[in-house]
Amino acid sequence: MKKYFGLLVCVFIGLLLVSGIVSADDVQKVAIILDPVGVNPFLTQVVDKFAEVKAAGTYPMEYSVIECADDTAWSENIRASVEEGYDLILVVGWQGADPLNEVATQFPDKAQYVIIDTVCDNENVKSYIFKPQEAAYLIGIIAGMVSADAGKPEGPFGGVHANPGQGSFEWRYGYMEGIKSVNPDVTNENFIFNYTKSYTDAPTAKELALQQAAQGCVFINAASAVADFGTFEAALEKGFYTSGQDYDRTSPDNLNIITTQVKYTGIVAGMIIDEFFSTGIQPGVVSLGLAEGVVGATYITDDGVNPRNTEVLTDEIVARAREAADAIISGELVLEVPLEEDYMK
Amino acid sequence: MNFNKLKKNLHFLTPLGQPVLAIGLALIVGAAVIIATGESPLKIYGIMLKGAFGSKYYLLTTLTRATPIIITGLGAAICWSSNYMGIGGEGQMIMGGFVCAVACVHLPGPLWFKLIAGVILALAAGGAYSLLSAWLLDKFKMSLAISTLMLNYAGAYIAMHFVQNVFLDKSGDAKLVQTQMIDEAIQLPRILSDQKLHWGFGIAVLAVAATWFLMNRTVFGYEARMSGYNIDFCNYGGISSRKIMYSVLILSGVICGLAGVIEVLGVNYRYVHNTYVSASYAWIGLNAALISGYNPIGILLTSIILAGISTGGAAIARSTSVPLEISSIIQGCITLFISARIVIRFRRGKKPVPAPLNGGSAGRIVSDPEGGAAV
Repeated sequence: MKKYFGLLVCVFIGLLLVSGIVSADDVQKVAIILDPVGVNPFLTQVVDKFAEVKAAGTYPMEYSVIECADDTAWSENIRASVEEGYDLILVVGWQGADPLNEVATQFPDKAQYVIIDTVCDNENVKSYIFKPQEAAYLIGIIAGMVSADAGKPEGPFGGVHANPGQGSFEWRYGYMEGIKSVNPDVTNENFIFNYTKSYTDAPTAKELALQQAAQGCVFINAASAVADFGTFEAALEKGFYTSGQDYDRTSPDNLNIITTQVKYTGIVAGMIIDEFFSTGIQPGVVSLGLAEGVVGATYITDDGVNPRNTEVLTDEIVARAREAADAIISGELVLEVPLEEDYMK
Repeated sequence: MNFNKLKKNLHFLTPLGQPVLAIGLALIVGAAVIIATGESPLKIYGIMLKGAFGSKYYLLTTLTRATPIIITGLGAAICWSSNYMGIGGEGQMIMGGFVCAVACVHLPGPLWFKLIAGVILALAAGGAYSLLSAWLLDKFKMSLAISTLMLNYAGAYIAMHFVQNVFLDKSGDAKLVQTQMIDEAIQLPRILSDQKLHWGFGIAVLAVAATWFLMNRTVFGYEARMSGYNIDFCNYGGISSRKIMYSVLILSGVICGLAGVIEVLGVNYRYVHNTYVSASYAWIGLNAALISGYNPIGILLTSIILAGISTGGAAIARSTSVPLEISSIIQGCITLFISARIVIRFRRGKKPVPAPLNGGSAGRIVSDPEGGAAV
């Protein structure tokens, strides 16, 4: 009896080991390295997509969301992910470009590497970048026409953005070009841009928006991530119109948010997961815009989750913006972002 | 061996008592937070320990992070031990890093010249930035704590302005506010080729030894410490407290500038806006200086522990659901408990006198009127 029992235990342990080995081989470990997620929709969409795919059981996958507490932590976490045996290292944010470049050069075969939102100039890395200027162009058309309807065709046009500099100029460039396409008399002097220097500082965004409203802006473009809540609050108080960012931010409680410049990072996360499990990551650079359905504007390229404020965002404005969207998608209208210092001269 | 003899033999460990107590209490508070998240503190601290020191890779990562903390800690210790409570290490580090990165890329001439000139200019920039606070204190009696604190913000924005508008690296998509990368030939070499630890750590260890020697074996060190003990006694004895004030603050700025230089030459190979601020190197360095009673060797060890808490904290976040902020809570509690020690002594009507940098009498107290401190 003891002999059979011992044999049974051995078989059982053997099965456990074998199943362990099989599962260890099959289940792929993914490290998602990013800024603290909080309620930043740019990041929550990525994390939510991974949660959705895992819950659906489409692929045998385990993933860790690794938030970087400070700029130095990007380098440490990317390197540690290689050390800890992750199969796919997905970096979301431009802060990770330099450290990822170094790690991908040093350990080309230890993992597959992807970065979102910037180009990592490395033959082992796949970079996904966006064309936010295309969506911002549509927002510009809306801003220009809404302002004209309010009797101010030449502005001033406001913008509360996160950071100054070339890195975020693609937002401003598209917005300004869109407005200029509506009214060619508008010049760079008709724009007021202020910066929160933070993605979360809503009180500062509100103060800046209030100051722009006091200078007569009918439309203020909000592009500072979570800090946009401050601009929205100011819009409700002062009555100017605004647009959200990343995912549909319109609300029945705040009809002054008339559209949103969307960026569907969740779609990109889905693309990455599919590629990783089907062919493996193919290094290179992929640029995603209106044609790929990754960026857009609520009510222009997408249906909104709330009814459109038709009194302000009229059918005429929507038709004009959709016409521009079609031109961009067909390649008839190409928006190449110049250097800010050249454009603003 | 009787108890008194044992106590006498272990007397040299006395300075470690309060820091160990503070760290212990902070870990207890951290354990309470971990329990609140539904995890086991022992398991989490185990992961933290492994993530900080558990393998060659983790240990070397911790030492890499500890390097700027050690150096800024030394800078803070020099001025605080002389009773000048400067908290401008961050601004001075930014100035050092920024000037070094710009000089090493944009100065004309051969690479060796760029490197030498870049380092000299960067150290001078750190010193000069601290000199500004010293001058404001000397001429206008401006609070050193306030002027140095405000100059931290000014420094960050001055560097940001120049990087963004003059020295921006436009080779890629220019999304990061950063200068161009310095030439590979003038980068600090790695101690091990496949690890991040660079010879800047060796420089930090040398700086520890140099600071200990300076403060304990030279006339300048003696005068600076005397100034810290009792500024009136110092003046009465014929030592110019004004000269001491300028000297220690400039030296402190130079050392903090060195931390920026090391980060540029050994880690980022360029100046990247916000890197030093977001990592709080100078503040953690100040924390290390306070915990260790301004003892350079204590600063070395404490900096490694504090860096380990940060890298270990990241390991927790990588492998559990416990939030990343747990390491920040522990570090904050350490500061709180160390500060509590100072406040309690202050309320007893006695002024805590900084320890001499040999560490032999951390936390010694002498009676002293309140007016002497230049804060």
